Parts: sequence; C-alpha cells; structure tokens
Amino acid sequence: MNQDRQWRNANLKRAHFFEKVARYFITTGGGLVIVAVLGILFVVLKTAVPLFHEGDFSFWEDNKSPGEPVTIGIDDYLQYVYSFDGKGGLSFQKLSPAGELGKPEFHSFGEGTFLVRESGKHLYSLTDEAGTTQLIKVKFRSKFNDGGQRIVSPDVQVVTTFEPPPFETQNCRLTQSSEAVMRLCVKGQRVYAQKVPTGDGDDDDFGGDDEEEPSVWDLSLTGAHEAFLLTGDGDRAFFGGSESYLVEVSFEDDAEVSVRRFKRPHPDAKIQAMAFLIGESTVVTGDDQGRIQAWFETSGADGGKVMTPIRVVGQLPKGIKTLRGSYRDKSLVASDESGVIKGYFLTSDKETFSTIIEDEIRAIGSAPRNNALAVATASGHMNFYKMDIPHPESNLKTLLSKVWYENYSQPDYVWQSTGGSDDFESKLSLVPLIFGTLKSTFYAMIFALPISILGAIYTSQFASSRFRSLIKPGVELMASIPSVVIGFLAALWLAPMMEEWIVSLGVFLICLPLYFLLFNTLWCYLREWGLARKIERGREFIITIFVIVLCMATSYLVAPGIEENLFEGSFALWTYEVLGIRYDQRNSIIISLALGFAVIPIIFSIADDSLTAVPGGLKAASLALGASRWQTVYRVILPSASPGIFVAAMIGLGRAVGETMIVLMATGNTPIMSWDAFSGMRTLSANIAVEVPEAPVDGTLYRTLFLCAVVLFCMTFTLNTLGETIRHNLRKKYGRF
Amino acid sequence: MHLLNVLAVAAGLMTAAPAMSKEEIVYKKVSGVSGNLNSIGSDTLNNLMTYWAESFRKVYPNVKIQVEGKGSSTAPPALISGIAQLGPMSRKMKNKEIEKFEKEHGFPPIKIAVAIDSLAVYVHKDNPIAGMNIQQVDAVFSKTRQHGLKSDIKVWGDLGMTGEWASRPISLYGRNSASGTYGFFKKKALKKGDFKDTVKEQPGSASVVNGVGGDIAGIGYSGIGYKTSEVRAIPLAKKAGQEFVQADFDKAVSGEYPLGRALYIYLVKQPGKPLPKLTLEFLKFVLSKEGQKIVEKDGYGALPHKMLVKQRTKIGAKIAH
Repeated sequence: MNQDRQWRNANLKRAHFFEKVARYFITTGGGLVIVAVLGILFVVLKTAVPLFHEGDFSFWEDNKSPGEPVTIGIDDYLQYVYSFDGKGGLSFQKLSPAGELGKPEFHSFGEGTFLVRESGKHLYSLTDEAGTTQLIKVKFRSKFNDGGQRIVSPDVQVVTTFEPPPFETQNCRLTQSSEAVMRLCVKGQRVYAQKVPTGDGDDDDFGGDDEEEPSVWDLSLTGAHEAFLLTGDGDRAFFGGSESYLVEVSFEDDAEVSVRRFKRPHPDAKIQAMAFLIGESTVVTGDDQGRIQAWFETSGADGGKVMTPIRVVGQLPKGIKTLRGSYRDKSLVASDESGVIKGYFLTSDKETFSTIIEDEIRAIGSAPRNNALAVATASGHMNFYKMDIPHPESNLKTLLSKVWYENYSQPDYVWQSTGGSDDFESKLSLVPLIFGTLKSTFYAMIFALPISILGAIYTSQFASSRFRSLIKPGVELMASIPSVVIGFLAALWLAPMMEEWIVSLGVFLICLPLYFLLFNTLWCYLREWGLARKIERGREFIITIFVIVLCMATSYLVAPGIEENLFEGSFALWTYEVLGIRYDQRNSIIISLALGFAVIPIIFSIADDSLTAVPGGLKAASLALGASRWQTVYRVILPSASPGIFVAAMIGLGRAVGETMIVLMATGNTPIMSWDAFSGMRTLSANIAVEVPEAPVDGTLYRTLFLCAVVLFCMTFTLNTLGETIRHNLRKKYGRF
Repeated sequence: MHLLNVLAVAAGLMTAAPAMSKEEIVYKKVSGVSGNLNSIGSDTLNNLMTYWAESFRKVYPNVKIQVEGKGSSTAPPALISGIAQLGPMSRKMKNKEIEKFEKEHGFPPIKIAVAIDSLAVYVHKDNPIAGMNIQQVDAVFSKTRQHGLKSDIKVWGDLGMTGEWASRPISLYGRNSASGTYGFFKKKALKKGDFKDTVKEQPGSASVVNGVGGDIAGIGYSGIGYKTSEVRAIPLAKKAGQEFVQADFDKAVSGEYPLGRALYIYLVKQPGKPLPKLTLEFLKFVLSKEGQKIVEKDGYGALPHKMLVKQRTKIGAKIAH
C-alpha cells in the first residue's frame, strides 16, 4: 500500500517534471517562432526602406579651372575630367580621390572660335567659324596594374568631319548612331541636313548593312530657332525658340521631310535650352522665365503620335542656362542665370538635389553614373560635388498613385518593371498588384467559403459518423496536393476546357439550386411514404448525388443550344461584343476553382473540428426540447462554433492571399485593374516570384519587390490579427455554452 | 592549250577560294582538361547548353558541367559573383549590368555569339491569317504603339480577317520579364514601347507555345525552336506593303526577317590574359563544327562561317586545321 503510494508519488513527480520541461520547451519554441517572424519582417523592411531615402548631395572640392571651359565631361570611374574650351582645345586632368585636379594634358582641334555641342556620352561636335564640323569621341581605357588598381588612360579620336554647309553658320550639331552620322546646320530660317550611312553596325545586329546613299536636305523653317536637338539616329530634330511652337522635323522618310508644329503651353516665354532624356523620347525645354517643361509623344485625336507638353518639371528663379539629360536614367540637371543648379527625375517628378553658386555658371558636367557634378564658373573655378541618389525613380507617388509615363496617353497605374534596353522607364506601381491580390482572394473565397463551411456543417452535424470518418481525411488529403500541380492542371487542362464549357458552368450554377428546391419539395412528400423512410438519417446525400448528376446532364445537353441561340454561337465573342468584356482563357473563374481547391481543405478541416467540439450535451438538450436538427444546428451549434469557423475562414483567407504557385501558373500574370470574372490578375506574391530572379540586388526593382513582401506581410498580418480579435470577442459572447 | 590551262587554273582558284574560307573548324581534343564548369542564365539556351555539356563530356569524361537556366537576367549576377564561368544570354547585356560587372572585375565581360535564333510570332494552327507586318505586331502587343500604327488592334478583324474571326478578340501570350526574349521582342517589335497589361506572361517559352496552341484566338512570341504542331509561325514583313517573310535563319541573318537575333555566352576574360583552359576548350567546342551541329539539331541556326571565325578570335582560339 505504502509502496504503491510511493510509486504513485514518484510517478506524479515525474509527470510534473515532464510537464514543466514540455511547457518551457513549447514556450521557448513559440517565442522563437515569434522572434523568427519578426526577424524576417526586419530583414525585409531593411531591404525595402532605403527606397525612400532621399540620397546625398554634398560639396566635394574647389579647383582652379583650366582656361575657359564651355563643356565638361567626367569619366565613369571619376578618375579624369576633361573640358573643351571655345577655341578648339580639349584638356584632360586627372582627378584625385580627394577631388583635386592634376596638370592638364592639352589637345587641339584647330584655331579660332568653336561651337561645342554634346552629341552623346563622351561624344562632342565641334564647329569652327567656317562651318566645318568635327565629331570627337573621348575614350577611356581601363587597365589594372599589378596591385589590382585601375589605371584609366584617356584618348580622343576624330570620328568624322563634315565640310562647311553652303551658307555661313556655326550653329551645327553632329550626331552618330550605329547606322549613320548626321549633321544639321541652322541659320535663321534655313536648315541644312546631311546624313551619311556608315553601315558598320555591330556584327550581330542583323541586316544593318544595306548600303545606302548619303542624303542631303535643304529646307526653310519659318520662325526663329535658337535651340535645337537632333536624335542620335538623325531621324528627328526638334526646334525651339521665341516662336510659340515646338517644331519637329522628321527625316525618317528620305524622300519627304515632315514638319510638325506643336503649340507650347507658355508661348510668351522663349526657349533657351533643350535636352533629350535618355531614350530620346522625352524632350526637355528651358525658357527664359526659368520654366523647365517636359514633352513626349502621346496618342493624338486620330491615334497618331503628337508631341505633348506633359508637365513643368521645375521652376528656377531666372532664365534657364543649361539643361543636361543623364545617360543613365531619366534624370536631368538644370541651371539658371542666377547660379541655381537643380537635379530632377522625370518619372517620380522629384527634385533630387539643389544648390546655388554665387557666380556666373559657364558649364556643367555630370559623371556618367550620376555620382559627381562639375561646375565651371566665370571667375575661373571648377567646383565638384558628390552625389549618391540611389533610387530617384521611386517615391510614394510612383508606387501608389497614377503616373504619366513616357509615351502614354494619360497618367495610369502601371506595373512593367523591365525592358530590353537601358533607356527603359521602369513602371513600378503597386496598385495593380494589390488589386490583383484582392481580386484573386475574393474570387477564391466566394467559391471556397460556402462549400467548405456548409460541407463542414453537414459532415459534422448531419452525416453519419462512418461517412464523416471517410470524408474528413479525404478532404484533408486534398491539402497534400502540391500547389504547383494544381496550378499546372488549372492552366493546361482546366483553362482550355472551361473556355469550351463556360456556358455549361453557368447553366449548372443556375440549375443546381432549382433542382435542389424541387428535390426537397418532392422529398417531403416522399418521406410520408414507407419506402423512403427506410433510408437512414445521414445517408440522404446519396440521393442528392443523382440530383447533381441530373443537373450536370441538363447543363451538358442544354448549353450548346443556349450558346447558339442566346449568345450567337460563342459566349466569348458575345461577352466582347455585347458587354465589352474580353473573355480571357486564364481568368478569375479558373483562379476561383484552383485557388478555392487549395483553400477548401484548410477551412473545412478547422470548421469541422470546431463544430464537432461543441459539447454533445448542448445538442442533446436542444433535440430533447423538441428542436429539429436544423434548428439545433442553426440556433445552438453554429453560434457556439462561430469563433472556430471564423478562424477557419481567416486562415483560409490568409492562405489565399499568400498563395503563389497557383496564381503564377494559372493566371496570365496580367497587371490589369478590372473586377470582371473573365479576366486575370497579377498578385503580389506571384509578382515577387516572377521578378526576383532578374532583379539586380539592391536595385530599385529589388527593393520594390521587398516592399511588395512587406505589403503582403501587412495584409496577412492584419487579416490574422483581425480574425483573432473577432474570435476573441465571439468567444466571450458565446463562450458561456 | 596554254590559254586553256590558265582558264583551268583560274577556275580552280575560283572554286578553291570559297572552299578555303569555309574550311570546317573541327574540334581537336587537347590534354589536361578537367574540373568544374557552371553555367547560369538564359532559359532559351538551356537545352543547347545541356547538349553541348553532354557532348563535351563525351570528349572529356573528367569534366563536370552544371547548367541552370532561369532567364538571361540571372547571368550577369552569376558572372559577377563568380558562381558561374559561363553566362548564356539571349540578349545583350544592358549598360547597367556591364557597369556592375566592371565594378567587380575591373574590365567588361566579353560576349560570344554562339547560335542564331529567330523569334517567331505564333498563332493557333487553325488560324488562317496570311501574315503580319511589324507595325501590326506592335499594335497587337503594345499599348504605346511606337511603330506608329494609328489605331489599336484588339480583334482579329482589325487585321483584316473576316467571318467568325472578324470580331474574335485577340488573346495575347508572352514571356516573363526576366527573359531575354521579352526584352528582345520589346526592343525590336515594340520599338521599346510597353506591352499591354493583357499580355499573359508565361514562365517559359514552351508554355507560351502551349498557351497559344490551346487558345484559338491566341497569339504569342517565342523562339522558333519551340514550334509545335499545335501552332503556326506566321510570316512577317518589315513594313506595310512589303512581302511576308517566313521565319528562317538565313533570312534572319540577312535581316529580311525582322526578328532574328544572336544568342550569346558571356564570359569573364581579363584583357591580355588567356581564358581558363576548361572554359576556353568548352567554347572552342561550341564554336566548332561539332558544336554548331548540335545547334542545328536543337532547332537553332548555326553561325555563318565569318561570324564563327570572329567569335573564335575573340576568345583567343587559333583556327587549327
């Protein structure tokens, strides 16, 4: 007896001990999970937040300027600075890491005064008084010494020379592309252009070497054109001045030059400076009132392209003196006559930096990587500034509101992150993605919620226990199907089939409730008769299978006739013609079914558990008091299980929001913003999966994708917290049972 | 007699001259090749890389080659970090990518053309359309229409089709943005414009073709190597009014077909220093008769002789006879 008690005590002690260990273990585990989740959030946030950093702009060094520079250039590695003077000279100076200039190396391209124009990255056209134009390329060769240090050596090359035009002018510009060189000279109203095909494109740019004859144009443009621009390929030129128009001359068609005039929004001001932004689709003009205006082509009334004044990028206090577009992104540097220098970024409409120089500005040069700025002043100084503006294209406006992108007809929410070339303007609006996430979740839930919750009510309350023990593991097995498989099936099997049978599905959805109503009415009468009564309670569903099959057969047989007569032979065509909605094969109905399929097991399982967990006594008491089965379920079971069902729905919702593979494969990942059921969507999660492999680490796209992750996290976090709070309240309310 | 002799010699020279320049570049085994090679990059080049790797390993059983192909944009980071020695890409590197590369290595990467590809515009096999010009392709796929067609093309009827096709909306398929195919098509066919939001982005070239094959109203673009019996590659014209040209490699190289491109392998090669032996031998193999045969077997175009020789000089391979 005593021994027995001792043994029991020992046993109890051991049990206590294990309980304690288990408790600590579980608490630590839970704590670690929370720490891990917070850690992930921290990492994700840490990557995303620099997106909103303004960047740095600071004074670097003050130097004595060599001669009187009219243009300044800096090499990619900030090792050399070069400047053209107006007398045909070019001097290179080494730039020390501290920003100090070394001794100049001098090159000369002739005597007299020259007009120097920048025609591209490290590419300049020099025109002398007689009108001879030289195209000069500045090159930098990188070598590494034995210590692994970069040694840059500069070099210049005269690419080509054009003889003077038939009239005397110095106002010329020479540009170069892989196919041709083109020179344009202007004097008063006369415009003289020569294009010489070079035919020495890259060896693997196919078909670039058709031999073409040089072309010459000699035309007269009415109006005064102080400033003009020429595209690299020489196809188009833009003229601006005191006229109230921006004039575009197109040389694309060799035989016929087309001249178009576009009304300027501020005709009283005179255009003093013009520049292209990278890609040469945006023209920026600066006028004598300090206004910087951006133009690009949009679709005009007849659908053709017209140059349109988009917006005033900035306003400087005095007339614009210099404008320079970056060769790296859509940024530009502008200065005015009062010595104000400002940087802008077109897409985000952001002012990236600003400074004032108490002196007359002679020339401005910015480094190709936008990391330094050189300013030469009339008093013989060359000042250097350091810049580090990592994400100028991104701010809350570009992420969340409509932006007017280059060549678009109006501002819009767009996600199109990359293009095949450097001059692509990234469009990183999160709005279509958030919209897509909400849309896919919504469509998944309208399919999954009713089926799984009603199913759970049936299996737990009405069906026989043997049936339940079969069904529940069966449904839970659905959860074990990898989502890739579901996505794959949905994309390649379900989507084409759905396109064929969409009308049947519609008929089925209408038929089903009707048939059930009919069946139930019938069943009430059938129940009166003996034979039907023999069917065991909880097994009635076997008969309903026949109802469903009958409904399927009806929809199968009726649909072709309906499609023929009601929808003129094709539902997809009919929706497009009559409703204006395009029926897309990868649409929301597919997502509804596929994503719903993935979510159903979760909701069903949790809802079923919470329904079965309602104490049996409650049910028995209700039934004993004379309530019917349905009354019992509706009035007693459901309220007390509601917290659980709610949690089930919330967890299902969370899964649907974050689900990646199914939406990735079964939708077309189309970032469209329309709620209709016949179009697809692009969700946050699928977007991350699609784009992360190509995003340059720590680039703007990369950080934006991490921001997508933060948004996704916030969405699921809010859903879960909301769910938990509501569950808590519901439990308080119904917990008394 | 004398004259005849001269003629004969001249004729001989004339036939000999082209034969000389087209002498086949046969791969010759060298000793001491072993080790590991990693290739990360283009999905388009994935099969080709695998075939090359397999055949190369038949010559050198001690060599291990891993090939991963998720998209051209994955190549530059892999080359920069040194994970891969070979970076197959179906487009040229962008300046920003080269810049990053230079920042790490101090010199730019070298670009070796290894095969000719041609993008094809696919429609469903039952689609009777005769052909399209590039302006139309642009208006079908792009919302900015940089090629200058004045109105949008939404239904097949806008392309001049009649009957049941007249009001059938066009269903668009394309590649995901990581792929070089996406970038190339955007640059050439869309003239750097933007895709419509309704273009269904597919993770691989094969799924584009699959999608179009299963969608009667579908149209999509992919490499010509992915053609199946379910789809038809439609002939294209460079300008309105010009003759339609069927996608083929000779027409692509000559520029008559507008969507031809070269496929590349990017390499890390220090200027003035030879490539590592294994990498060099692999590329010599790729740029040999054997390697180019594999290219043709996989459905791409072999490089013309002139280009082949040029690529070989780039990697510093002498043409050994």
